[in-house]
Amino acid sequence: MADNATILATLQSRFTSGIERSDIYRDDASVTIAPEQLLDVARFARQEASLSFDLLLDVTAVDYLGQQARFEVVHHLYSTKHHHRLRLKTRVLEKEPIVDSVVPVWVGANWLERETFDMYGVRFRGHPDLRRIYMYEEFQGHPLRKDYPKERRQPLIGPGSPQGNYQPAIPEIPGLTHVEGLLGAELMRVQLGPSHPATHGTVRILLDLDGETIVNADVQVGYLHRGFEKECESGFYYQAIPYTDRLNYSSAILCNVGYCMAVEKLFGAEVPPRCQFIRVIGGEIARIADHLLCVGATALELNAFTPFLYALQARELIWDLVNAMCGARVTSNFVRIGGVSADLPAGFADQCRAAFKRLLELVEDTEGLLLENPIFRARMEGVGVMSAERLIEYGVTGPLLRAAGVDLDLRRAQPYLVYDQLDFDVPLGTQGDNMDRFLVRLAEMRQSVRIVEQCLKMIPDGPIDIDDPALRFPGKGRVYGRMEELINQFKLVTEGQKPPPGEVYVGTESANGEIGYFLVSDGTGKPYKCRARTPSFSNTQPLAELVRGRLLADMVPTFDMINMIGGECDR
Amino acid sequence: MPKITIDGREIEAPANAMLLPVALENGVHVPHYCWHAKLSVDGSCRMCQVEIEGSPKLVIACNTPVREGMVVRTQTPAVQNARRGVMELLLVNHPLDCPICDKAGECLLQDYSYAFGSRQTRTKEPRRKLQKRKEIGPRMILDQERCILCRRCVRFCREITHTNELGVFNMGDRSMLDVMEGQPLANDYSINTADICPVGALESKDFHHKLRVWFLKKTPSVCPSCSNGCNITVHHYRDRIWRMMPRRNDAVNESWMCDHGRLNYQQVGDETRLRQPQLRRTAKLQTVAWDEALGYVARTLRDTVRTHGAESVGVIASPHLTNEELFRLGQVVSLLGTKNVDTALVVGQGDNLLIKPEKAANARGARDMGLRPTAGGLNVAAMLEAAAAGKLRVLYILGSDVWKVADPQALCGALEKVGCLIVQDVFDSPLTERAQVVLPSLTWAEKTGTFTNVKGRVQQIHRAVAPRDEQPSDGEIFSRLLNQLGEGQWHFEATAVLEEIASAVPAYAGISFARVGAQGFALPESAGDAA
Amino acid sequence: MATQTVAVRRPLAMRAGFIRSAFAILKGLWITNRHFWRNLWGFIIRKPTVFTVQFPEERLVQPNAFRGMPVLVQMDNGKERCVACGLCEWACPTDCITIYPAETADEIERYPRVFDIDMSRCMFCGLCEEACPEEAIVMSQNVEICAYSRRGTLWHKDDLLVPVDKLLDTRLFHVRRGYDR
Ligand code: SF4
Ligand code: SF4
Ligand code: SF4
Ligand code: SF4
Ligand code: FES
Repeated sequence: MADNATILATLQSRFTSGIERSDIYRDDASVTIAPEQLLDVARFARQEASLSFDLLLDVTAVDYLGQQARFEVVHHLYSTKHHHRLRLKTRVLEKEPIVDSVVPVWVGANWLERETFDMYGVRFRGHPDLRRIYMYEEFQGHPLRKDYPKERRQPLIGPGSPQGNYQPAIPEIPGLTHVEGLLGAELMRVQLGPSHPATHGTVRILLDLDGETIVNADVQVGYLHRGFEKECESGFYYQAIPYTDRLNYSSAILCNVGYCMAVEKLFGAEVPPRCQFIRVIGGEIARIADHLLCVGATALELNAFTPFLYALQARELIWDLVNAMCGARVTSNFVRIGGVSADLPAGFADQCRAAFKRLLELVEDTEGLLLENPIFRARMEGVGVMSAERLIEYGVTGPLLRAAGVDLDLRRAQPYLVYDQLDFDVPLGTQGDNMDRFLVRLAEMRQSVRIVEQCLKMIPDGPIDIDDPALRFPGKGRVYGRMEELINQFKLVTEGQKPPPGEVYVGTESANGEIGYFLVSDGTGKPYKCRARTPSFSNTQPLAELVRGRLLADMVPTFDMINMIGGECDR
Repeated sequence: MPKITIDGREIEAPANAMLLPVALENGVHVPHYCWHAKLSVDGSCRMCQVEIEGSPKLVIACNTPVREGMVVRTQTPAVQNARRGVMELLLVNHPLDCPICDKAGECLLQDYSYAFGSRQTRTKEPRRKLQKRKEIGPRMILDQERCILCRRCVRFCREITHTNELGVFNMGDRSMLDVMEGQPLANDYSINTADICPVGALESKDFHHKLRVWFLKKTPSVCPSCSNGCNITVHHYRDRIWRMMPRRNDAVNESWMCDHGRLNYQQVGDETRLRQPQLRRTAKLQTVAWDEALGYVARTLRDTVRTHGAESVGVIASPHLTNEELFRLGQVVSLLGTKNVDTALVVGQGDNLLIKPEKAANARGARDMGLRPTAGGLNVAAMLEAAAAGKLRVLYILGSDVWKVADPQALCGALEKVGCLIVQDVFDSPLTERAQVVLPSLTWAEKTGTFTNVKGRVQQIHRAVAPRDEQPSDGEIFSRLLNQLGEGQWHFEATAVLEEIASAVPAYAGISFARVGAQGFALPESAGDAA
Repeated sequence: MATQTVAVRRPLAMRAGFIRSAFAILKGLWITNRHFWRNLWGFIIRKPTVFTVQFPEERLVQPNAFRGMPVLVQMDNGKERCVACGLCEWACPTDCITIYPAETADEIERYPRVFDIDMSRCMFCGLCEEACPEEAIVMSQNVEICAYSRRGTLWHKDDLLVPVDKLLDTRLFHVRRGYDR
């Protein structure tokens, strides 16, 4: 691992001109580069051995309305070898918002750049397939631009109109040879979704079939796009927390934690230890819920109904825990900027232990019904294999990548909260097929149980909230009877927490991989930019390649193991 | 000009200036309660203390003249400590009223406590009890507990209105603000005290418990009630005006406005307003579509001019319309060819502070746009006479001011005789009862345009609330009439019309919205008022 | 403390064969039967182990932290505690609260003349409760907000009032634990 200063120095010594600015703010290294240098810098960052930024986490833009170089295209990089990060920024002009595409360097940039184009209207030179991704083709304008009013209504496409039957030619994935069908006959176009019983999550997959072989696939996401970023940018920092619940709704607390950590990083604040433990407990419980759903639903979609019920029964136990902790099963809205909404309820540790005992039995039964089952195994083993390098190139993180044997778990690689005090294993797969993905998730659940049990033993007494009235609402008991605190409450509610101007990125390990929040503060109570880098989006991207040349039936287990969560993928 | 250094920044200050305004003008925020740009220095709140090199103690910036070479620091621990101390003292006895206080959200006590205070209450003693909700005037309420005794209001009544209603009574920690015995706060400018009160002690009855200030959206505009043209900010929310506040313009209204003007916004949201054009086909007025009403008006005007000559048509303009609209109306008038055009203007009492006798915002503009009788044309009184004599067949009246200025008998006589009465107004009135056609008008708050005040200062107004049902503005009505009367394709877009004015009206040469700006544009002296 | 990586244990390579398949079937039967008997026993002794709830005959007992719809606290004199300060209206991310304040002759001079919550937009997030400086709006246990029309999902002040002692042992108990943070 190279420290930030070394990374920047390496870049500077290689690119003497071209680097317009480089700085380290709150431990984030970032460089601003001239647009014509972007591709060179990207190649260098990826290839140079001491940097080896092989994972492109995110591409997005920030709209600085009113400035001549209006759009700042932002790339977030990660090195799976050295576990360090870098932010590349490029300013492009309002008149001519064009920048080089980095698809030749990281194939995963494809969707990310499409999204940036869709949302900001920034074009990418050399992109193989620059079309909208969330919005429909007839959509007018680019919704995340600052001059696009939130209330604007757009003409929707009716069922009868020709656009309602949008059928693009399926583009080739760069760098792949064409799949030859066995029959060599005319291809058949099949639509899987947007609402298909064998896919949980609303997604439309256009398939060109040659007999039963998938020759080509186009995955169309965006059916659940709700304008997460626009909504966050129009509210205060604290008002966005319930919206983060709705990113990954099967493990909402993990999304809460990442967001609040990002805002705290903007402030340069750290929450007290008890709060960190509570966040870890909540997060790991949520992770179990997420994996249970993934495991159960996979079984269901491969026609095994009983294991699904066992998994959901286990998840009920988890929901009870979450409910007791935050007052809701799914939409937890648990974490606060500078704390958590409430301390653990009385008797929570015992409730947890009892729930886990039963939960582990149920997981065992689920497993017992599936792992010996020849049908299940036939559909999972050896299916959906992709090399670790290719997965990284696609920006895949989380259990999917670990199943391919890559040791990348942010809890271990860049420990945050109190993970460095805990004892747990990171399960890795050996073959990278669907079975490994399934097994990794099962093993991770057990590790999460282990983590929570440790936390419950280790959790210290003490405050659960940061002692800083600029961040955290004062305790209600004091608001009711004291003047200064009453005023604090008023100011915080009406103007929001106001972090100093700056930008930060915080990546945490959510159930499906790295969930990262990129926040830009302009010093007001509302985020100037609130970007969520969500694992489901990047994880869904390789689907088309994973199923090419395979049978149609392989589509379902592969899609299930990707575990696309609509809210997270479509934001 | 002395050079001073504030927080390491060199600043050139005007001679004899006090430190506080110099700092504020240069973007150094020094908190202050009692100081106000338009009032004398009081120096009582001690919030503005700063450190000056060479001075053993902290000094108050509002009462320290700048000196050459002065080195000032506003952020040192000593200063911060002093501010914390002041805030704590102010809050010790302050009631826990924020949830029910109209000021919350724009309260300096809240702002400074959050920014400079300790944010932790240390005292537990009971708070001082004083009189709350005291009615101290027809439009004002006082809450003595909330008052921080900055005396801004006292100085306002002494120095600006010279009425001296308010004073601070008792001594030490028993002092409190009150009105003088038997002398309610009833002057014409009383609500200004609520604006300058840094806390929620003085509240306007009109805005009392109406709305939270953080919901309000703000649009800069100009007061419509007299020809002084006080600069104001319209505070609106959910397409409704909730209050109006003065906007500082040293060339017009300093920081004040009169109570009458401030409260004169209710008509905008009034439910009884005219919304649809009406036409009298039989005995009763009937609601019709815009095209039909305007078609009828255009036909009547054209036919009358053709058969009875242009002198059989009279137009009485309204000084409440914008320059742009009046300019379009002028085009309609000259297209008809009539010389009978005048403006009905209510003239009342003025005073020597702000209130002017001409009770309309754009009286001067109406004269400048030529809406007054030219040689051979009839003025309002003469038009009414002519109508009563049957010589005027069509009378097109804008607004209802004519009802207030004309001799009632002459007016009734005229209206009975005139062949066709066209009335364009915001409300029903005795005029509309007699009208053949009624066209609804928009109010100033729904339009964008310019007003010219009595001193010849052109100032902008902006649409604050959206008109209902896309009701057209008066300017649009005139443009559509022009189209119907057969003269090309006219549109109404205030910026474009102002450009037309700039080239057509000599006194307004070179004017544009950019030049008018936020503080207005003074017409050259030579332009002179036509009155 | 330390973390380490471990490789997951894959099931033994599948040898197609009667014995293994029979074994898988027997294992499956064993597991499902265990569940069956367990559930049946729970049914007999009336301590159900199944997790389905026969709504509406049966209802879940929610923990006291539970966030159902927000309601207004009713004081002993029958009036609302709310003083129409507007913080909840402002804090609500979905803008579903509408308040019109007015003046009363009571000692606390202000009250909400209108207090509406549009339950079709409310997401039960509880930010209103957190913003309130008067403990006047509190999340309740009620989640049954269905109506026959959109208009019916607009709850007015009178529908929202709940006596304070009904809330004391549920959500209020929960939030009051954190009062002296
Ligand atoms: S004056 Fe300010 S601090 Fe005092 S009650 Fe009103 S809003 Fe609160
Ligand atoms: S009423 Fe307001 S302006 Fe007057 S002295 Fe008190 S705080 Fe100052
Ligand atoms: S619970 Fe949330 S969405 Fe519902 S009214 Fe309260 S703040 Fe608004
Ligand atoms: S925050 Fe509380 S007191 Fe204020 S309006 Fe809402 S419910 Fe009423
Ligand atoms: S502002 Fe200087 S003492 Fe009050």
